[in-house]
Amino acid sequence: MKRKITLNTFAALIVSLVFLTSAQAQNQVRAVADTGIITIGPNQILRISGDGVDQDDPVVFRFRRIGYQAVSEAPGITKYTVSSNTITNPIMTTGLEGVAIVQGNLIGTDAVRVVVMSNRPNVRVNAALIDTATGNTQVLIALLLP
Amino acid sequence: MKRRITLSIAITLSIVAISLTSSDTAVSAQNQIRVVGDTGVIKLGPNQVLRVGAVDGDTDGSDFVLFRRVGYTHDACNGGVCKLVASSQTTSSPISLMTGEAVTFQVGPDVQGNGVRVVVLSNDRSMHGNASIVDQVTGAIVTSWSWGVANSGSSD
Repeated sequence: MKRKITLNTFAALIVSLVFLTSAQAQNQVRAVADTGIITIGPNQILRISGDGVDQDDPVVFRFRRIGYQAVSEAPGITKYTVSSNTITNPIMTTGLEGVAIVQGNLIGTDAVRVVVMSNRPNVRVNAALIDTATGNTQVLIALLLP
Repeated sequence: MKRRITLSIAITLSIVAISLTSSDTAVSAQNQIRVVGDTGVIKLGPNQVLRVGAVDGDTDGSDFVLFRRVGYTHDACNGGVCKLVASSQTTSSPISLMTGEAVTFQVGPDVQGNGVRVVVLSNDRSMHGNASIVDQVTGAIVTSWSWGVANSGSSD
């Protein structure tokens, strides 16, 4: 009888541990897309949007914007170091889009990179460069998703 | 009793050997230089430059990147299909990237020949980045695409 109770307790502990681990994994915000380092033109803005595959999915997005400053140059090669690193508050989207916009020609920034983070691995992320004068999308950046 | 001791020693030795072998394999894999990105052959316009950027996926500060530039010229054309042949090849020295560092490699403007290609090599598989064609007159990006593994594994 005692052995049975111990076994039941042990099984219950394992089940709750598995449940907690999977719940924690779903709440964890991880990088899902990365623009890489790019130098946006003076009349361009970088617009990155993300939403869930299913419109009813409660998806959380965070956008990390990393600014870079050139530190050394050799013929054709420029090395950069991080000059700023900011992250948005979690943006909850259900049937909506999470959007981050980066203006080109930022003072003190030679290049920029945006890392999209989400609690879901299967999200849709779009990155586009838009002409500030016309509002037209000039370039749709092909992002690699994991 | 003697048999038991012999067995214990054998098991301990096996574990030590396995751990040494796997650690050695991991070290040699880290030092191995492999292709992590490739733009393919691109024909740039007269005012266009190709800019290839690389960022490190992890933060161990021990990784490096090399850029190989391959120039192509026309060989024979037949029915709209032109064969290109590699006419030049240069590889940069290894560029080490510390935590928070990034690097770009630029080709052009006024690239001679009929095509150019940049191959990114690194000892780190998580190295990733993008390639952009930039109009040198306006500074605007004309096209851009990512290469490598997008997920840098960072969480928050």
